[in-house]
Amino acid sequence: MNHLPAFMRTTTFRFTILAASLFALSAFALLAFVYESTAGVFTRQTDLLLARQITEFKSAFNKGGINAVNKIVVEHSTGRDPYLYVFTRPGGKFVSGNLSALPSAMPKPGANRRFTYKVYNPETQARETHRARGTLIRFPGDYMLLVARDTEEESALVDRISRSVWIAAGLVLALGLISGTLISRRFASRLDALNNVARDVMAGDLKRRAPRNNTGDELDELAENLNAMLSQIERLMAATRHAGDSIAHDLRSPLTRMRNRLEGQLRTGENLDAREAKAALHSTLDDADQLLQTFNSVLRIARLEAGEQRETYNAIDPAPLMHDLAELFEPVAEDSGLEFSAEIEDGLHIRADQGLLAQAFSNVLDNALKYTPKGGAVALRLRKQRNGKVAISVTDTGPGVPADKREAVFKRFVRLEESRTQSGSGLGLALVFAVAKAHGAELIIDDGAGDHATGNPGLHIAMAFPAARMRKNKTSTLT
Amino acid sequence: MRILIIEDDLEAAHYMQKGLRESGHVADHASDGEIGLEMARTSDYDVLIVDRMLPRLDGLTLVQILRDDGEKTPVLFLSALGEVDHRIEGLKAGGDDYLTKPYAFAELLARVEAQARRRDPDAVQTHLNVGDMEMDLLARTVKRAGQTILLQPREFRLLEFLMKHAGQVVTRTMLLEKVWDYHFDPQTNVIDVHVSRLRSKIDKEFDHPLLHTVRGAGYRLQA
Repeated sequence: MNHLPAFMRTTTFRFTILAASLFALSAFALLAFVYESTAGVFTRQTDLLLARQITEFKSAFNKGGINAVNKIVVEHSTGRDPYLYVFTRPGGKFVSGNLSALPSAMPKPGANRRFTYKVYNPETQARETHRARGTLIRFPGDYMLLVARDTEEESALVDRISRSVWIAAGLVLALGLISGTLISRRFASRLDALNNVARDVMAGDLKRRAPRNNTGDELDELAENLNAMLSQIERLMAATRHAGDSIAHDLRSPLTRMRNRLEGQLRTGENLDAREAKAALHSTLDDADQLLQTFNSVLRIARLEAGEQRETYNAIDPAPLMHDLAELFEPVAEDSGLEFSAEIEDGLHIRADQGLLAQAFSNVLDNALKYTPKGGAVALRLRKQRNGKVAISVTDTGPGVPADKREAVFKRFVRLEESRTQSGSGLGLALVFAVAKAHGAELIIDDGAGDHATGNPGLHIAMAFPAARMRKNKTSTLT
Repeated sequence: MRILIIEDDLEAAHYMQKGLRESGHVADHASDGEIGLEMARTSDYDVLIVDRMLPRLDGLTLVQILRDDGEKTPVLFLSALGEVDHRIEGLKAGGDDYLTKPYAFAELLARVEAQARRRDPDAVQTHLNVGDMEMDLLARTVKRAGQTILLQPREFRLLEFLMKHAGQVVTRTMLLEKVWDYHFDPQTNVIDVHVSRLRSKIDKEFDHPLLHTVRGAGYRLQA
């Protein structure tokens, strides 16, 4: 098949050819039907009329013999009906009728046959060949009578009809082929354009986009989806590159530290001090753990961003989870001299992954507890908003995040300069952001319950989920 | 304890073997899935440490085969695949615990030793005793030296876990997983805070402490 021109290999071309063939086929069926319902009807009608004549002649013969037959022939021959008569006596000599002689190709007696004869047309002043249908009647004494009917007009009509149908069928087939070719060529060229884009992208040009014609047809939609997919891929690749850069940046310093420490110990050679070496090993181990933690967080965020788990989210009531989190963190808050409160509304439902939700809010709470100074307050809330969304929020009275830096804190590895002294990978809020995104939840970051005057406006971080309806026969269980 | 390590990374296996031997255990090593299956079938081990990705026969299938044979030896999966889904796969295949690589040796040791107690998991316990402390699992009460100690539900679960693993080191991650069912690291010292609250309830007014901190590893409840 590969030697065929490209357009002929398209599905569209095959479909068009199939459609054209089907159309032509139905045209043939139509032809057969038209033929049957014109020619057939005409023939049957002729045969009926002829049968009546034959009966008339036969009964005339039975009553008055040959003379009676001749009399009717003479009478009818002058009539205007398109009947043809030739009455001959034994030997074939003409007696009466409106045809001078029996036609040369004469049917045998018995059945009606088609034949042609010549007739003089006074209008065109020419002899014409007409079609007729009739039969021979043999009378005792070798008298013969041809009774026939001129069918030229009907036959001509049938001819015209069938010719039109044939032409129509031919036209349909031709048009089908032409339009099929044209459409397929167009289709193939647009498909080529898409394929070229795909090839270019595979060759590394991620900026290429498929051309659109904005008709909204299937190819246009394909182009649109292809473009959306390419944008997503480009975005993910950029994110990966950014993550890679950030990882390199954030991992390089602890790795360097570890390397220096180990090298320093090795350089001491003979004078290796066991206590010092042990301390160096411990610090190295701590650094390694920190590195691994960073690494795991990056992986988890990457997986979340890739949208791997999205389908598995069931409708759950987040209240038990929030109670658990409150219970987990409350003692920590108390030990840090913070007032901890939880306002949790029961009976709300959202589509969420319990583990991810727990992890995200554990990060948010962790941050709040870490940064809020002694004597402050941290509040965990779960409630339905006025707009119907279900919001989970953490509000503290810590230093907060200045409005112009709020977007940045959800990016990977960003820690505000003033918090560099605190431990952490700087990935906590990036994970929160990724979790919100994976859930289709709105992430809100605002001033908290603090006081601007004291320089601690506080921080309010909320995730607003679209409310979900619970399936009736399914209850959520918290393990 | 007799422990079988089924792991194709020789360095990792020897490191484990050395550590386990130093802790007083007998540790054998199999370097691929088929040898591992053969050894697990022919010798009697207390715990199997199975890497998920093994040559010739992968760890999940290996454990499934053993479980289909009715072999109940506790299995601890070791894997570089650490997402929740992977963990669930491992537990479904018949694993009893799942540890993600890389791990701290103390964590591995604590989990291996915790598995040893589970050889008879069907036995229903109604009372737990450690020293002069007694826990009634039906009445949900705790007494020490005859004195009733009032605990919050979570503190009760925490103590129950510690008592079930009395004498063994229990890591923070283990507590997070088994008592709170969280499979992530909440970074702050939440577990330490909860343990110290429990400690103040069970140890404060008594002469000798039961709940000990094991540096660099976790906690141990011991009379």
